[in-house]
Amino acid sequence: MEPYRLSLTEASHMIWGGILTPTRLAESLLDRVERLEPVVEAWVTVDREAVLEAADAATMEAEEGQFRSPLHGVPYGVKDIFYTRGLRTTMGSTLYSGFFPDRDAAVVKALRDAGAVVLGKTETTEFALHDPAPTRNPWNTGHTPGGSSSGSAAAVSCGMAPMALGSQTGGSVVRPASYCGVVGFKPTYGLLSRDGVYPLSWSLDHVGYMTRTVEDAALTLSTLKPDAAPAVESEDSPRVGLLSGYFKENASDDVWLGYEQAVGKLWGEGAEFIDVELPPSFGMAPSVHRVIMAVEAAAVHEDGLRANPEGYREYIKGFVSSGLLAPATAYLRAQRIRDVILRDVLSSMDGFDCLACPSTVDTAPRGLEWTGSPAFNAPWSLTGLPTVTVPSGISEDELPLGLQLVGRPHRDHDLLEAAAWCEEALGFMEGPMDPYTP
Amino acid sequence: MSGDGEKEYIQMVKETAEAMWGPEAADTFGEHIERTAAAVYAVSNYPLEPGVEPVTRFNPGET
Repeated sequence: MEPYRLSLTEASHMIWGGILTPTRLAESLLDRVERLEPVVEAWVTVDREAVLEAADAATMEAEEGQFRSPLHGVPYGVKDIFYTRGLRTTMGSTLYSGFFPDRDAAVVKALRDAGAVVLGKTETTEFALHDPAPTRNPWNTGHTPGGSSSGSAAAVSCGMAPMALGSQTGGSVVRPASYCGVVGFKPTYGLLSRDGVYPLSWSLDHVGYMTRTVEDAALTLSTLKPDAAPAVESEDSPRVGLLSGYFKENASDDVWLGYEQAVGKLWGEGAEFIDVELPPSFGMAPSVHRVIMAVEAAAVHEDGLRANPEGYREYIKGFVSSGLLAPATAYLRAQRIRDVILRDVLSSMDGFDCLACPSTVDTAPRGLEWTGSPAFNAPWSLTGLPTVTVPSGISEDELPLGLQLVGRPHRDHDLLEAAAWCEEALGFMEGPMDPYTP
Repeated sequence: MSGDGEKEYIQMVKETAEAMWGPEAADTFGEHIERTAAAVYAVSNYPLEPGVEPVTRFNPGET
């Protein structure tokens, strides 16, 4: 088997077992990137020489029996808003087309210290907001891969990387992961450091990542946060609170049918599902999220927009301008309502291992003009609760569907445990795919 | 503000935008301005007890 096909966990085991060298794995992934990139356009920067140099160093350490972590010698992608020392970091903006940071983002440094190898920088929408990257969805190259972590999701989906970092302010990890048929994990707010990640909205921004299996997501979390609370050991199938209401009202027919089929399958495998009514305050989530994000994004970009208005594309200009017009009292009020929503949602989670809902409103939209709606993800970015999307099936239009699970704050491993159970029960575990162009 | 209707509030924000940036920019950004103003209006009219504090250091699940 070509090494690029390996999951992160499989690659890790083979490197530790001396069956695979980091250099061989990196070569396989670089060849895969070279072959698929003209079609998928997932990468902003790949420095082949630097990748092989880092992989060679990891190989030498492994030959001497020195393994820094389970991710030793494993290459991964980095969304292009994460600072990478000496490697161009553009934020998806022409304003930063020549920016070479002199330091790593905290999470990149942690992975570097763990022996992982930066494979390259992945495409993002402009400043991780809306204006799209050129990336195509490997499942159908006429469709968006989602965003803002567009390149990370596409790269993992088609075997160009076993793991890639992303960020989520609205739905920028879970949505593209679901659109591309991979696992997307957004940990509890603040669990992974945002240091060195270009901000969009400080109190909503989360660091997360994509993998092809839940096991890979758990291994990555254990490496990045060894002190995160471990999963409570249980032989039981998960007790899941089923969400409808807002989600049923806004889901496409395809998505809702797929969700019901996935739930039916999990129920058949022994999961316990109980309908949960969303608290009335949840209805305020979209407005509260909008106010906070617009105001914080305005604060981030106010100076830049004033100094270089021609350097910004239209959407972000308009969004930032709208935030500049919001009263301070409205921002504070939104932050107060946010606390009410969080408390109410936590109350409705009582007695459940997690909540479940579809990962996205629809399947990946046709065209590359926009990256889809974050409406099913933004409430969880607002509440900071950990979420994970697990591929759950294929729609009538031959695009992936995802099941989104929502966990309790700081019980991220518990959430991944429930997700692993669902992943196995759903039995939807595709290997890396070759891009399909109709 | 709670006495104003949503439409009147959005119109007021649009007029403010026009005064600040001119009619062309206000028109170009019109959809964003309307959507954010509608969200502001909704948030401003949501009843809250005075004791509910704003989240200033967000750390979900901790009180």
